[in-house]
Amino acid sequence: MSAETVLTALLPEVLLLAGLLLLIGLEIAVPRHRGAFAVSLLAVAAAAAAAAWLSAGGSSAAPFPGHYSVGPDTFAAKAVVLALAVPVLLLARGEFPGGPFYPLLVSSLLGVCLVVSADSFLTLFLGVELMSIPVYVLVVLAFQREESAEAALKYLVLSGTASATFLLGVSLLYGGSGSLALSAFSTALGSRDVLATAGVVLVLSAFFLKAAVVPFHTWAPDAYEAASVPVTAYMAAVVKAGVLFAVLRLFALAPAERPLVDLLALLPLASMVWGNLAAMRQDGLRRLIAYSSIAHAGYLFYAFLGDGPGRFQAVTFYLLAYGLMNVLVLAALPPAGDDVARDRLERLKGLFQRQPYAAWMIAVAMLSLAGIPPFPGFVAKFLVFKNVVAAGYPVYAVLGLVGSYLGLYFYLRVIQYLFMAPPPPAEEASAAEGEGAPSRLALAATVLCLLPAILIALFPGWVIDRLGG
Amino acid sequence: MRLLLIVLIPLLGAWLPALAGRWGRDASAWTAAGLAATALGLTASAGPGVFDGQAPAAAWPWLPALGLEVALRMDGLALLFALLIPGIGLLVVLYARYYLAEDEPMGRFYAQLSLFMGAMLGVVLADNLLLLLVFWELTSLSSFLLIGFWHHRDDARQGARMALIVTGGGGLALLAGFLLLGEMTGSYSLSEVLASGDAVRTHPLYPAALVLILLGAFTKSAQFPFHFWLPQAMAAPTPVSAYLHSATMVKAGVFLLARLFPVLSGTDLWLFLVAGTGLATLLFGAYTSLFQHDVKGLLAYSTISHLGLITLLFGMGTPLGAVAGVFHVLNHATFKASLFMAAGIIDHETGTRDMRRLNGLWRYMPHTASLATVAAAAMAGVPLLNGFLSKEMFFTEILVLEAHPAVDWLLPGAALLAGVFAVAYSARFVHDVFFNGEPVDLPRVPHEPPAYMKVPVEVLVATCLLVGVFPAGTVAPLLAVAATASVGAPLPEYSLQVWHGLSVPFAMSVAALVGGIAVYAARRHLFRLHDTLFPRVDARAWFERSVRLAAWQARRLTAALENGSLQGYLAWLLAGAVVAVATALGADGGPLAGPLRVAPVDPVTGIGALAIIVAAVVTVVRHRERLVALVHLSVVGLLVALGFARFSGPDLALTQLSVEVVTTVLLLLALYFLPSSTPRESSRLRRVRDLLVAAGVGGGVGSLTWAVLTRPSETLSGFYVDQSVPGGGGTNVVNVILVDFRGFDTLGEITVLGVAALGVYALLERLVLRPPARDAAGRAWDRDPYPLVAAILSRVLLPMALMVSLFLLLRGHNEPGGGFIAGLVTAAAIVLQFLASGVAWTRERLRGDGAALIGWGVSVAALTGLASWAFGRPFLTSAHGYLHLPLVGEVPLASAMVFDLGVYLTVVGATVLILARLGRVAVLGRAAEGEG
Repeated sequence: MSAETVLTALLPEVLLLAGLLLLIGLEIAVPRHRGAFAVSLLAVAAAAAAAAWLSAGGSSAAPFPGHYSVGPDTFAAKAVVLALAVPVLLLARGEFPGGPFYPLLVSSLLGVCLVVSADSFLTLFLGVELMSIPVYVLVVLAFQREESAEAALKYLVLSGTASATFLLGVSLLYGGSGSLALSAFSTALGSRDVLATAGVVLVLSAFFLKAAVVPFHTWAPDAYEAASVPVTAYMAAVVKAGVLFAVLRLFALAPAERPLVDLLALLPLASMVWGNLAAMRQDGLRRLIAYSSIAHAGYLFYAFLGDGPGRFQAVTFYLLAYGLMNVLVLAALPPAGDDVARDRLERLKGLFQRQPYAAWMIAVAMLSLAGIPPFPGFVAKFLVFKNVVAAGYPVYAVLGLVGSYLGLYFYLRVIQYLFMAPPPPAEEASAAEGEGAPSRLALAATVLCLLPAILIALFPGWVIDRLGG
Repeated sequence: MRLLLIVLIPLLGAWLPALAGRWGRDASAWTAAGLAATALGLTASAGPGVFDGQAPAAAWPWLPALGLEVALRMDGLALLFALLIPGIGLLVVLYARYYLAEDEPMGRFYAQLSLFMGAMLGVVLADNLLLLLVFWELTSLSSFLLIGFWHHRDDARQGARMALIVTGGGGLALLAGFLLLGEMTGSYSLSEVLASGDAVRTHPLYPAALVLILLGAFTKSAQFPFHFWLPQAMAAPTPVSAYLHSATMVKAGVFLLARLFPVLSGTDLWLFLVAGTGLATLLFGAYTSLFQHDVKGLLAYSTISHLGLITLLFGMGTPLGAVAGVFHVLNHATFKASLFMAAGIIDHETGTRDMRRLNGLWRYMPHTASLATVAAAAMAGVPLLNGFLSKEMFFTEILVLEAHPAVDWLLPGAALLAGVFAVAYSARFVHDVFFNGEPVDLPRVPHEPPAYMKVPVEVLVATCLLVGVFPAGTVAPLLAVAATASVGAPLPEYSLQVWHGLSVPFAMSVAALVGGIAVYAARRHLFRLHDTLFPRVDARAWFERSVRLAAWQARRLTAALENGSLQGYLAWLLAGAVVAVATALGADGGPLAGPLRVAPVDPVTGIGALAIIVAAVVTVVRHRERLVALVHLSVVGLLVALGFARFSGPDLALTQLSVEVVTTVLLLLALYFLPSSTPRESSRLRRVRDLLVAAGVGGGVGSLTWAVLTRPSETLSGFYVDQSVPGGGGTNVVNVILVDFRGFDTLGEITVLGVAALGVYALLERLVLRPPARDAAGRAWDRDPYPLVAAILSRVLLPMALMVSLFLLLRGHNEPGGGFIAGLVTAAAIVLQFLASGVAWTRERLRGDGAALIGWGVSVAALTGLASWAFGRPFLTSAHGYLHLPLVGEVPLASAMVFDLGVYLTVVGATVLILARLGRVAVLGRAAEGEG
């Protein structure tokens, strides 16, 4: 395989790597430079565009046979993830004028790209770690709260335990199959051997933790709350996407079989119920988003009950709709004096009177996350549940919809705060105090989330066709 | 295209009234009226075709993969509703222009109203189940906005949220039902679903689908026990109540019953569920309505009752029942909308809706009063009005309905009872409001409203009269096409006449009228009886209580389970994994042990294993004394390294040994900042829990290892051993695997290592630790922290260690060694300097930048890989040759050597970076201490 083909196949990664090297070079050569934002934005946007272009071209290649291969699917997945990172970067500008944020973010994105294309367990593991390790640091980086370090530590320890679980699972699969290829996983899905089953469950448990599925979700509320706004957006949208793409890669087209089906249904179901219930009485927006993301992890894993071919489309579309909406909420959140005040849900009361645009954006995102038509979240949820029904699990589908009904309550609560609750006069002064309009870059981020959201709401068919499958 | 315009003009034009609001209230109202009139005109223009038996349809693909398409179709049933919705909408627009106060945002109101109109038209015209659902939820949303229109009012906000929670939940149930229906019929196209009724009714999923779809319909149409949101929704402005909550939106549920009638009806389950719910709602609503003191409350419960009546009619499952149901939809819309508007006028002019204060209004507003009286008579079912006709049909149908002989009398009896209450509450509405003495303490002196505000009421009341007197000449053709479309088959004979002769139904009507008047006359006793007999059964309070309870429980559980304790979280994680694996294996039931027999244990291995166990147990037992625990932990590590050596893994043993040394030293450095013992924090309960979890995990991993070891394995090691020399030019298989066969992974690994080191570096950036001045026993630190002997020894050791690591690096390709081990040896030597001579001393002499070393390491490794491209080979292809060096011996000049150098540099860099940072923390800490 010639260098040219390889370079083309790796174009998104190469662009990211070039950006990363440039960032590090700048850091060393120019002290106190202010170019980090521009460089990383350019690199990520270019990588996203390259991935989209390659996906449209329909090319596929295996630059590192047995380890790393690309096809239209992987390019589409990379395009989705990288595109989601662009508004996150726009949000970060205000919080992180420079420093280690940008190289860390770009290396984490590189990890996601590695995950999406991995063909062997080792590559997958590397990708997942490369994706996660920078995030532990990102959580604590802004250090806005006392709890930031504690939350980052919890995330690190629990995530590390999950990595150990993953490795144990992989070694069992390796012991059984003698192969480190990812296909060992999908083969083991159909096997009734003790080692294969145990390996599959252990690997799956690790990804349940990384995606925050009950009962492995405990790190998420703390970490989401402790991180700064752009990092929360990154975790909710991009990291979750990376984890789900890893699972997609693992399952390939293999159908889920009993007894795995029950595990794949019950834990996500518990996630939906628990996430939605716990979100009911949260006072902080980021904690609310954390619980909502726990519930959404449940919906996402539900997709794996469905048949293989529809899975990629369902998950990718869901990740796109869900990621855009999460970033949108956080981008539209008006800045305030300190972080704790900014995060308080109460402060959204009567936002519509003060900042109608921001209020509308948050409302659209909430309705979409709740899965109410005609917002994109509806089509996403529908795709998932339709596949579940078609695969012959109507009971699980109905239970899942019941679970998602519980979520309606807290999404509506936010909307009522926005539109229908004028803050009491005394609080109004304090609420408006320090509340600025969203920065121009944050506004650009909302537009970047909103336009694709409108696109996928109006022409879901067109988008799904582009996602291959 | 015309169908699409009917829906899209109000839907997409919804922002126009808001925009027009800038040019005044009238401009806004005219725009909204224009939208409604256009929709009405377009529908009417399609009407003649429908009467001729056509059903214009149009479809555009939206999401064909899912069966979701923008498909619209106008048959008779859709035509009836599509005329009703913009028709009444037009009247409501006119009415609201005078109803809303000067300072209220009229543009917003009309915008939301138009949005609703478009959505509702979409519901009735949709020819695709999913499209129907989309519009269905849109009506819920716009209803939410309209109920909350007066958002400064607490009850409006609560009512809005409750309405959306109930109807939105119904929408989700509907989605589930439609999914099942689509699964049964293989299509989401309504036309196709309607054609496959027999297949659906015999399908095993039919009961589930029916229940789910009915949940959607019943919540929307406020059927008992989901009715409670409707009275709460009366917090909306009265035009909204008139339009959404009596004439149109709440009819969406019964519309769905009518629409899916050919598919779902005709089974016992349908009869039982639909007719049962309808009957319960009919009676409950009629009875409760009589005891309301709020005019709108009375009308709301009466609406619930009439919706129950319609549901009951469809529930009977007979074609004539469906005809009567469709007819009553039309009649109820006209008289109830006019009654709501009249109630709004009364509220508007008097400032109250309490019937205990509103009395004798006839004298102040005779015109309004007479209109309201006629409409109320229609509601009561007085002859010569439209309500009488459909009620008569209802009585007729319920008499022929065959039920169990024992309860044969029950259904007509219940129907009669409901009729009696309907007359009674209608009488109460008229008598209490317009007669019955003088008004009590009204906020305003009432008078007639502006003339135009009465026009909509006049139009509606005139319709009631016209239909009531000349049913055949006015409404019969429309009713015929609508009912035919609903039933999906030609209709049997029925006659739409005012006078059927002296029949049993007529006798029932008369009995209801007489009984109703009598009940109203005896109302004082009844009220007292009602108050004593029935405790306040309030479904709304139940609902709110359950929501509060769920939230409270959730909060309690989150506080208990997610208390922020890392130990707790870890316990969850580990126990979760153990249980997950155990469940999966338990269900599977395969044998754990494999066919291989386990080799006997020789004494040396046995003693080693025993030592590991003892060391591990001591670590756990004495974990609160940090230094002791660390020492024992390192014993475990060393024994593992010995184990590797014993089982022919010299490379692994070397790696383990050097990793062990470096991490132990790093931990020792960290211990410097910590008190020497951990306080006892765990309760006994927690220790028991931890013991159980640990036993589970240990037992689990142990049995899995057992399973692995007793199974024959076909691994790739044979391949690697065979290919090591010819493919990689090295006899040390492990090293060849690392730097050649799996060089790609190694490249990734060192990158991750570098990133991790940088991460630690960044994390420690702001950390300032104060080393404790005294240890736990209160002893001061030694005044000479860096004993001379250690310093001298470490300095002698440094060059030797560097030599060893160079040696290991060079010979690594063939003998145990390699870049990773060499890097660790170098790192250990440097760490030793930090320990023995202190941070300041070492920093002064060791100028190397860890970050740069990592950068060089990764770059060298990556460039080696890239270099192979220059020769037109795949990434990381290796080439090898040999060079003979004195002393060292044969040095392989594989390109992999260069790669190994990269690995070496990265490992050293990562260690130095972390050490330097930890050292800085210590220096800062001491400086801070010095200041303090």
